[in-house]
Amino acid sequence: MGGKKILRVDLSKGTVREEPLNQDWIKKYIGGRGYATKLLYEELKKGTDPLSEDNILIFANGPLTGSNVPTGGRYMVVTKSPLTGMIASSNSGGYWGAELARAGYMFIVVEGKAKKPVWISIRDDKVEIRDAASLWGKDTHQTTDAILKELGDDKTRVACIGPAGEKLSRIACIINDKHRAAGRSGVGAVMGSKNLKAIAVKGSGTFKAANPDALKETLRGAMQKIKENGVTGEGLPTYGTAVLVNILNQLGSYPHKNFQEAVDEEAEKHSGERLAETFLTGKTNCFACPIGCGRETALKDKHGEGPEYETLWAMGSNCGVEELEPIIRANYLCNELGLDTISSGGTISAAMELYEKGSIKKEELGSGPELRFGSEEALVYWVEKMGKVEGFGAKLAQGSHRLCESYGHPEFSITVKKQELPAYDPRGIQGIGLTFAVSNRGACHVRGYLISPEVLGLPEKLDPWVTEGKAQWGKIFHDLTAAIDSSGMCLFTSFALGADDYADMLKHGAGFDLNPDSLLKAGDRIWTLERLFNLREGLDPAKDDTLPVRLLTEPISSGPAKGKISRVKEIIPEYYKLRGWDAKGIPTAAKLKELGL
Amino acid sequence: MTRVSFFGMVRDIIGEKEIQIQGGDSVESLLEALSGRYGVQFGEKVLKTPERDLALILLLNGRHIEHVGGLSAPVKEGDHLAVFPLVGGG
Repeated sequence: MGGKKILRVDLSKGTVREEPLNQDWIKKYIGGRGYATKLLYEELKKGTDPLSEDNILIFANGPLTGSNVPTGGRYMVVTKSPLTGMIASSNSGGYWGAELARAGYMFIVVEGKAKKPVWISIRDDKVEIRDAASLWGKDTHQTTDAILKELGDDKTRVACIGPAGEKLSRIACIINDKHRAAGRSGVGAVMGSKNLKAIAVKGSGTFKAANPDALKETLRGAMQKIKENGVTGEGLPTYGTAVLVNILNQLGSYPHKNFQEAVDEEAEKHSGERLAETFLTGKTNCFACPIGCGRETALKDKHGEGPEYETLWAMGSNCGVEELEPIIRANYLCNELGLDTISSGGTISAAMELYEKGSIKKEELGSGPELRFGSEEALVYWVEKMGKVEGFGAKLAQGSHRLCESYGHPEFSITVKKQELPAYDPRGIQGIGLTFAVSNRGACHVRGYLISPEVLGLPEKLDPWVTEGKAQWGKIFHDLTAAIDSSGMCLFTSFALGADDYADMLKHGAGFDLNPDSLLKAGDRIWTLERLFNLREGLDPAKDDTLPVRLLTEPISSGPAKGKISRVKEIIPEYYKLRGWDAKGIPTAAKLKELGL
Repeated sequence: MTRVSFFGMVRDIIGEKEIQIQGGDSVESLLEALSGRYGVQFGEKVLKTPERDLALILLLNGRHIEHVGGLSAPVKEGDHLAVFPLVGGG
């Protein structure tokens, strides 16, 4: 198993201590997202202010993080979100999580608040809380470089926040390995609220499989499936995620100008194909990843990774910006300043709509450029101000929900549970609308990627325009994803692998007694516990399990999906029933008993 | 005439972004016309197998062909076929 201990850090007291894993929780919740949810549920008091010292910030590996299973390098950050007020559960790749496993830890639980900025140094079981005065104010790249220089070791892995997290932007992320993000729900602000700038990790351990011979055999089959699958073996390695721009646009479900339209006539200009012809310089892989979807890019004056599909859309089409150069620049700024690109793009686009419709006045912008759709200058300028939480950027840094509410136009905020929607229009793709509406962390596509059957045809082709059957598909995808996120593997493997493969890897890699059914049941348990957490924090299913009013009432105005609205309200009652929840969306006593909750 | 757009690896293989082609009255006959135009390269590298177990996403006027009749989906004057490799992401 990758890391067998919990490292508990109390920043108020300045203490660190090790704890053993709760083996009963491991069996029921696997690790990663699942175990961390259980820990948060048990330890966090109801109603805790997410940005107070009472919040708990959990860095969570899965039992396969740091192993040689394909993509076995993922970790999660779980906490109470300052954006949604509900559970935050953000996943990241790179190499940081695997290094934490090598140091012997599966979880870091950060409590309290340091009196002054600090960073945590972990070198196997030698853990120190160190002064971060000289790091505070630095961006994520400068911070990483400064820590590596101070340690005199460029093999150490660093996860840190930028100015956005320090200044408590509710859409701040945590960046590890300079380019990978635990992006969503404002986890970076929780880190900032604790005066914690960074966690640097170096380990010397190795992964020991429960049954090396059986694991070897399982991996042979899994690697073959990943290699032969069209998406994981060819599509993602060749083009990365960016190749989705054209396909979603051709489907007429590529949100444009804050979801006012669903076709972008100029999308080709910022497509994956165009990126490959212009700014692409190379490809990157995360730890133990045979897919390699990461993209290296360069502008004249800087280089970096990305943008991914979501970012191309969020900074591009959704803001009416078509050319790659400003989108790439805005993407780099988000990574350096520590902002979630999806929520940043969704907030700028909402601000552009507010400005064009007369709610935001020119004088509020000071000397900054007008927030007009299509303005490259405005995109780059305001992303920087947002990341530095300066001037009008401070308003933007709170996310689109708070921004639009403050101007009396909550309908311009395209959010669920106050979190910005990703790059798919649920009016033209009905099933993904269910995932957006019921996702426990607010609008999210990777809580159950129904784009796979509805658009790509994997594992079979479903009609994106119909609602029938989507509740069943949704539940299976949601449960399987919760289990994968708890294992330490990347969701992208699920284009090629099924529940039986994950159960076998957990069995032979980490000693779990799992089969496909019990794996999915663990996913069901994790999803339901997240639901219980949210209900305890005040979730109102009737109000919160839905989509923005625009998507429920304003038909798509042009393109192949012209005339469509989201009919997610037709899907949700069946979904609740399949989950064993009552008609109001509350898990029944019988269901809780069945799941051992 | 039918407008055909190529994306991703298909575009790289064929070396064209978009063409107009006279290609019969179904998706299948259109693919045959494309095979005729691009020869072995299109058949082997794009269609891949004689059985046409397509590793492709074909959108006819923005709808996946699966939902409009599959390979026998009718194609009429002025229609648009978008040809994508099997891709994915998040």
